[in-house]
Amino acid sequence: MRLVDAPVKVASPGGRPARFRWQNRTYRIARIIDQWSYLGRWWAGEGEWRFFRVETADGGLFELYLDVAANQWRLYRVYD
Amino acid sequence: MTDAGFVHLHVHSPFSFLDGASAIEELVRRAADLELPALALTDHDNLSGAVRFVQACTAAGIKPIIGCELTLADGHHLLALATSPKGYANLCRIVSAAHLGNPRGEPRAAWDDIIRYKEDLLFLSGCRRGEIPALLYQRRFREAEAAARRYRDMLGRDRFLLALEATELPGQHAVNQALVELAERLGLTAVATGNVHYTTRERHPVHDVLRCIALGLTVEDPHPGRPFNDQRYLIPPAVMRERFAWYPQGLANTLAVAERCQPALVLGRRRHPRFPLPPGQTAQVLLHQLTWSGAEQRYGRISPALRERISSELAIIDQLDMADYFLVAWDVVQFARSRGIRTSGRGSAADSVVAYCLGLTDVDAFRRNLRFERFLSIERGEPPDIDIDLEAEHRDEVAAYVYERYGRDHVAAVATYHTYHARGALREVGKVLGFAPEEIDAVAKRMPHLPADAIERALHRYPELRAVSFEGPRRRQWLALAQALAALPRHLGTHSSGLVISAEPLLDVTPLQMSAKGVVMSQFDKDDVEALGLMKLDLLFLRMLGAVNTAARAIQRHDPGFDYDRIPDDDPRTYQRLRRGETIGAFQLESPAQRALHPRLRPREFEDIVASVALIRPGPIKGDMVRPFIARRNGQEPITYIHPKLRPILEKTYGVVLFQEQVIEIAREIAGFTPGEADRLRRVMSSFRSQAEMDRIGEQFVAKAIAQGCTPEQARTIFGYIAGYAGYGFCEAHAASFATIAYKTAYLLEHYPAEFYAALLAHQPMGYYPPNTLLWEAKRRGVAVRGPCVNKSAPEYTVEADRAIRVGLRQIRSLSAATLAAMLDARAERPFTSLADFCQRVAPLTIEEAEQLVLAGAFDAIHPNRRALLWQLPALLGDARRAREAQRHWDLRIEAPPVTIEDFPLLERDLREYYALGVTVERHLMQHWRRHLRKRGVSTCAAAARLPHRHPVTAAGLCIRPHRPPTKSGRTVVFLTLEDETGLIDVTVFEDVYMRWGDDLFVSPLLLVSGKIDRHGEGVSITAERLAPLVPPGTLAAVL
Repeated sequence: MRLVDAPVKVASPGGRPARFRWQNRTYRIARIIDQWSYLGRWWAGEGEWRFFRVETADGGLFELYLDVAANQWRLYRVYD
Repeated sequence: MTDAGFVHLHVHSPFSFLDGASAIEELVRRAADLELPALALTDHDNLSGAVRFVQACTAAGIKPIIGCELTLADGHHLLALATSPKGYANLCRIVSAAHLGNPRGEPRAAWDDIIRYKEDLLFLSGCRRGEIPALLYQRRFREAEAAARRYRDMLGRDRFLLALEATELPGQHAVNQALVELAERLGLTAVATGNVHYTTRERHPVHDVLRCIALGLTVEDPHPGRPFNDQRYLIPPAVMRERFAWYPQGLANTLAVAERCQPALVLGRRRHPRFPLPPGQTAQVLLHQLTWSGAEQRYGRISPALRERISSELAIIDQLDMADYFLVAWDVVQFARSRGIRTSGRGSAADSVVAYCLGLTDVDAFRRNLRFERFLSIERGEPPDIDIDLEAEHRDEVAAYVYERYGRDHVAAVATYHTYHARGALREVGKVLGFAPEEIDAVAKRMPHLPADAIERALHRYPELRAVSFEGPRRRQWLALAQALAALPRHLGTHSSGLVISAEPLLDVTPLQMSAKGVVMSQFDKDDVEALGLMKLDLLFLRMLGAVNTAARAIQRHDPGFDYDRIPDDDPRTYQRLRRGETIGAFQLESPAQRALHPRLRPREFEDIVASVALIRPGPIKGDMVRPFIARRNGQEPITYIHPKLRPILEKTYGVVLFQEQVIEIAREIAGFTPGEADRLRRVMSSFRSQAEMDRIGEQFVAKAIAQGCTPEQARTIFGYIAGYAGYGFCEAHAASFATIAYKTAYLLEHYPAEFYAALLAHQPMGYYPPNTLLWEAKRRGVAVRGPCVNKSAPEYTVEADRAIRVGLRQIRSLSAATLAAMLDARAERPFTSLADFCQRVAPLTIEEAEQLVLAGAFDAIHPNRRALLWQLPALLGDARRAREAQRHWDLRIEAPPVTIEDFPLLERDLREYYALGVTVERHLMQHWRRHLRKRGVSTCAAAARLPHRHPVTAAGLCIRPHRPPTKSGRTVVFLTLEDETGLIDVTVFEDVYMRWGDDLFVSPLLLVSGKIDRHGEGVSITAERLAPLVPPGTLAAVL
């Protein structure tokens, strides 16, 4: 398991991730395994992060999150 | 059911104490906005919010479901919902056993109780702290299934449901799916739930702060007990449908649960106890017998008018079936009197001649022509409010009798909720947000006593808050969150006086728990228990009654014929004292406002005292009744009535509205209000919260008064009297009841100052002034006061043979009861001869206790150098301890090492004495500044009081009780008293001066005031023009 926490481009029709591009490669999401919401340090101005644990078509396991306030997707973790 | 298609079955209110961030009314309002057909309430291990929840739901047209989130013996959670009154009673029993069978504050529901009382209850598997979900989160599927089977078999398939959650936690979806699978495999029902702790997501920070307060954390401390996200809100049905699109049955199942939950908590049904009667006797007959025999004792001859009055009261009591209520109260008073415990009835009970005949009150309602309807009326049909004042130290003894008389399962103390005020909210939120203690102190100490949501308004209003800044994002957040805690209950406490008595076992009606003082209490407050139809008996403690008894005993030692109950009611010297305003210490008559009133009112009979007790209340003051009353009473202004119908109502108060009863009578006579309408008016007035409500009732009054023949102008003017009175005023009966004690204590003050002041000091805290002021007032009256002495002091303040007051040992800071008892035992053998002797013979004795005894002056008679004694202490205590450990009692002759050191400088000595004792005995603290002040031309308080009207003056003194009472104009006026070694002088600070100079007014123990003398009759005060702290704020903070 590796912590990445880097911005990624995600296609998310209806707010749910369908594909993302990372390290010059596009990953198609086959299944959303789990999703949850995390509220960070609200007292320091952090907002909601919406997490998705996904399995890609090629069998990879990733965690993506949407920083709702910044409307920015990030790849959080990769399960090698 | 409606289109919402879903009901929230897991909802926490603020009565989950530090785990619910939205008021019940807000939760219900939000549920109504979301068109939910029903709503559950499931607070942690208590039902404290149940009554107001039912009331709020009923008003909103929502079906209330009463439940509870139980904590089990192993710490797991289990939700229980009542489906009927029987289920509710069972839930009360489970919750009560959880509290009473475990250490206080750690309720744990036992499975044995749950199984025994499971009838008409539904159980839900709970949140992630439920046993089954917790096992599933840990992926221990087999154990989870075994647990689910166990629950199903113990509770029954139809009573146990699996709860899916929609709070967006990691792993939750898989757990929800596993729960559905379990439900299918075990033949159980699965329901979709939220886990509601507030209305909307915006309240999440408030919830998080509350959790941090509960857990003793700052926001930077991670903890599993804090919320992970902001999803514990009242999730709208549409969002629930999205989240459970994969299992819509879970939503539909919530509706089926709501259908099964029938009204469980029935409000308004009378559950008053029956008075235990001899065989063949009825409560009505007994009450009639006791009343008539009491009437003979009270009145001797019973006139036809009196007979008619008593008969009519008894008829109403009979019709309302309230005889038992009176008998219960009568029985309590009888018990108290049989034990020599002084009692006094207060409140509207004194409107009743029956209550007077039964000895519940000492106010003759017949002679005073008081209206019984204010106490009890057929139209209202409400139980009467009988409040009984008792000597403070015997109050619990009387309460214990009530427990014994009606059975421990039928009597409990009433609860009260402690809610957040400005200061407490700022302190707790500041700590959570990580502010430094000194930053928090600087803000909180200056904050007036206000509701938490009034902080921001106060910042612009009070000059002492000018030094407080909430600029910058962090501080703004602090302010906003502190304000958001307004009115949230922090914890459950015991009501100081209320007892609830029930005909049926209390456990069928209310859950019980143990209070901090070790009595069993209901989880409901006084309003709730009344709504439940239970009888509430207020056994109040009035410290003054204890002080009166103590004084009477001391007086009888040298004047055996003295009888408090036979104090003459026309003593000229007492009235002279009242007219001089020299009444510090007298019950209800000692405040600056009262002392300023009397020289102008010039009281010469008892009715003047009744009036003065009623006049200095927010209602009459704001209604501008004080000046006209005084002028009319003294013949300086004609007595006029705007309408002839007012004459009989206001005649005895010179045409001025003084008592609550008069307001009611005006409404009835002028506007033809029915008793019910008049009572509504009284309630609006006495808990004046809404101008709109007052305006509505005003319109009704004016319209009805015009219809009754008033001119519009008359009607509006008369309502002006009523509206002006709004706020708090006394009823005549209550004022008369208090005036009786007030007059008698003024008599004691005049004739027996040593005994009375010693008694007042012994029964602190009570009254308006701090002990130091009382002690110095006694000295100014010529009473000698002696400091504490290890050989001569009793535990309490006492009067010695030569009628000097001796300070008691219990006044000494930090002195424990065990050490005091050890001291008294050792002293009984022989007096202490030295500090060394004391240290050897008194155990336990901590160094802190010994230090405070020295600093209080308790060894002065043995060795006057307090500093030298302090130096000797560590060695003496060490030697004494070692000798005791070695059990070498035979050679315990420890000698104090010789110390040659000068005693403390006098100021330091007195400040330390003040810290140790709360008073100074030898010198008044102001004497230390006297020479300096004299050089600057600063007057003593006594010299200032001799100056003529409008004379400029500068005076200095201890700043006693600065306060901002309501005023007629609504402007801020601060009243305070300056005190020095010569006496006291009151100071009035008007708004402009306060705003300009008042920054340190509320934080300065010693104040310098410049202004002009204001004379009014024999009274005198200073109208301030400038204020300054005598020493920089904080200089003496540790002491004063």
